[in-house]
Amino acid sequence: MKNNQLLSRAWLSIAVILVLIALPFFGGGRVIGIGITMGITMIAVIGLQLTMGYAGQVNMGQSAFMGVGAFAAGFCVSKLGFSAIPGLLCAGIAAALFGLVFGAAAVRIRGFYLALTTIAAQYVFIFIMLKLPHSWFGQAEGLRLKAVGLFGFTLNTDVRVYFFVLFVLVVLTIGAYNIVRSKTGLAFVAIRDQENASALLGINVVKYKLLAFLIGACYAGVAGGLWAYYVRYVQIDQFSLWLSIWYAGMIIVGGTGSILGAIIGTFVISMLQEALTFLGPRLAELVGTGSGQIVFAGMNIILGLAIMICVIYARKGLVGLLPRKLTSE
Amino acid sequence: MILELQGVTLRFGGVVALNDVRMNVESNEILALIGPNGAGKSCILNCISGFNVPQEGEIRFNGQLLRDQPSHTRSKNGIGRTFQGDKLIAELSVEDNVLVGRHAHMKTNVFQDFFYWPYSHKTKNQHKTEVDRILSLLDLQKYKKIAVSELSYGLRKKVDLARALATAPKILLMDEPMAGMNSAEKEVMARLVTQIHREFKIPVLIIEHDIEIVMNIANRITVLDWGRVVATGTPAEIQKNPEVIAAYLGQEDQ
Amino acid sequence: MTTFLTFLVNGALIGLLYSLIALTFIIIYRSSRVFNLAQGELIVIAAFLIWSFSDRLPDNPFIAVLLATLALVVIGLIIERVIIRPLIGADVFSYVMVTIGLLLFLQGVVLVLWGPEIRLFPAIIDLAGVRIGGMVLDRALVYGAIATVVIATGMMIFFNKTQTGLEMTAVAEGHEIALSMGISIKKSLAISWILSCILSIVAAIMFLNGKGLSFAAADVALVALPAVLLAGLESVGGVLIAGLIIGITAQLGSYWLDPLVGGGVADVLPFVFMIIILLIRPTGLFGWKSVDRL
Repeated sequence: MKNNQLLSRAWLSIAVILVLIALPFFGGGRVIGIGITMGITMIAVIGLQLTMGYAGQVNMGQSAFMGVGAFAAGFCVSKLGFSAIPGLLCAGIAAALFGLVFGAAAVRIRGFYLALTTIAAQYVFIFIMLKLPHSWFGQAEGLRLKAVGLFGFTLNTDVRVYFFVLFVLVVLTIGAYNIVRSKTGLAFVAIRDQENASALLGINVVKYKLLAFLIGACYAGVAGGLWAYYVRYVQIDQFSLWLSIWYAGMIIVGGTGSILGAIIGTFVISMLQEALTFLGPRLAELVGTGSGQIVFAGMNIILGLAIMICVIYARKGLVGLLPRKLTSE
Repeated sequence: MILELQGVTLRFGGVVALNDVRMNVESNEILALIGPNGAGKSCILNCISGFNVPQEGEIRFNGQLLRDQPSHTRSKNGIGRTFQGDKLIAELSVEDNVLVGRHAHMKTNVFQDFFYWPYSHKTKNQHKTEVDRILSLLDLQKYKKIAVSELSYGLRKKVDLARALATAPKILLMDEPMAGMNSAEKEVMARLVTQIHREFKIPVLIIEHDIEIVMNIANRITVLDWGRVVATGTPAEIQKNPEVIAAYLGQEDQ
Repeated sequence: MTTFLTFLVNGALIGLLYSLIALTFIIIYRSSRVFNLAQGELIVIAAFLIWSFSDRLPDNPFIAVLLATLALVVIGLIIERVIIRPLIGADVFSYVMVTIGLLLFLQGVVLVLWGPEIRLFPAIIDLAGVRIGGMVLDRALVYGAIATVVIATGMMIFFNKTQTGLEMTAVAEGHEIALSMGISIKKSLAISWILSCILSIVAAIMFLNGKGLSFAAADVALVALPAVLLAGLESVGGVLIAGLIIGITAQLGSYWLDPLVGGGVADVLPFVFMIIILLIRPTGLFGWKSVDRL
């Protein structure tokens, strides 16, 4: 990438960040809430993009990793009194360890079977969390947190949480871009497209499969921790197989194998969800079912269609529709 | 000798792909491996690379037994290789594909990569310089930034070769590098092989079907049939060997 | 002792239900090499179709089932043509995601068409339990188990001994091979989808006879996945044994472990089992091993 291209990308990114910083002052509480949720989702989805889109390792358990992070952060903050950043570190590390276990399975189990293994693991995760001692993670009731502290401040308002999430998102996004452009990123793509040849070219396939899961899970864990700080209530139902599937859907719609794709996909699907929620009551009258159901059903129909159309007809997702200058990495 | 195979036997279920194979490669030669389709030539390369593990026998490289070494370690230690068909990463550029070959020699870890430490940046540029050197040697400079999927087959095979060279090999294994090429392209590739052998001073073990080319560039030839070594010798000796003629060269005449 | 035996036998019965569901996946995979993760939704649709038709024809349950079967076959063939056909030969990631997309889509459609309420699935099979020894067993499960064994055996004979079946097996081994032998892949695909839809109807009846039906029933297909994997994606013969193993292990595990952990073991044990099996044998217990080519 030429230097002036790099520079114009940097300016564009800074402009976007400035807009995002200004957002809370112009938007209302709802906008801030959407922003926080979207930001948290983006972190998890970017992580998934690294594992699936770049390294080609199917992972249908990203929300389970997020759950691990959320519970770890929740536990550290509510029972051990950690502050925000140590809590996030715990979340990331806990989730990464989980991810390592999956990575180990991914070494032996490939492709489709791996997808099924990760689905199975979601259920096992839920079961384990429900059965662990109540004093640890609250079983079916979950954990409640007080607002977490950060360098003397308390993250007790949505605005403060928003800026913290924005900060973490920017750091992790830049980090993701860096990984993608580096030796690690190149190894990921090599394993994805030519796994057998890669091993014979000097790439330690085992190590990089493990790394792919570790990094992706770490991102999910951090997202989970942030979620815990925002909602201040962590409960196992928040981390279902459907969430994992939605994350994968966001990557497909946005564009597999592109960080920008992960960001765009998350944005578009989240906005769609907001639109549907807004139209919910009207649609519900039309069809005759409850308003909450229609949003869930509607999202599934739209997302399902979008995924099918994208995979069959628009391989590069929404990113593929943008002019090349903006998107080449 | 730099590479030595002794009593190598490889089985897939009930099928014996390699049967008590005994051969070697000297450190200053181009050795051609020829034989009918299905004779097991690729299997030998795969055993040396570590992709297949022979049930019996020993393979030594630079005196070291290769038994338990994983493929990527063998590559790092100098066993370089080109592949049959197209094993490039279609969406990446020529430069990036060849850079993959530099992987084992890039010394950053993932944390450094995450922060794109100045060290990461410097390292990457160092290796890009090396890639440039190889690309200009193979006359691929003008295609550097072009996605490999947009290149002709002949050019892609050249990129495959460039990638193999990027791994800084001490021996180059080539799996039918000229398959699917017209005679002009074959000439170019044949000349490249000898040029590389001379300039990089590395031995080459090449599987090839075109007998004329083999006779021209090889110092020695090993003939394989049904997983067994039928004969080894100079091109002149092989041409006169009755068993070889019966097994292989005779069919060429028809 | 009777309780233990009951758990054991129930385990076998439920296991055979898993086998039946697993068959619906396996038949599709054999012909198209595409694993349709949305297959479970088809069973739910089968159930709702039966419910809808029975609602209108309360005195003719068998006609209702017949109509439901026809409707499901049409839906299945449309899905095959529009969604699965373009996926043939595609990489794993593609068809995993497309079938997941299909899963989401169908889930949404079911929810919109039939709503979230729980309906009462008609008791097509007599509700009275079957008495054997001291045990009372669910009649639908028993009939279904017998049907499953018959069907699976029939499938094995079909795929290995009949002309059409052998052609379909050739298609399963590789589309290029089949094409070169002049075998119609389209015919194979159509037949396998019809078979799969019929099996889905049987599975729906067996699983839901006289019980509550809601859109969440699709989860049953996920629990059958371990049986699919244990058997191997192509193995019709292995599916019976796989189902039995999963079902019995789950129920026995439940018998011994539920008191210790407070329930839920039967649902999670199949998944644990599956993970362990895959770690030991990454392509399933009876599946065809594919040789890695360089």
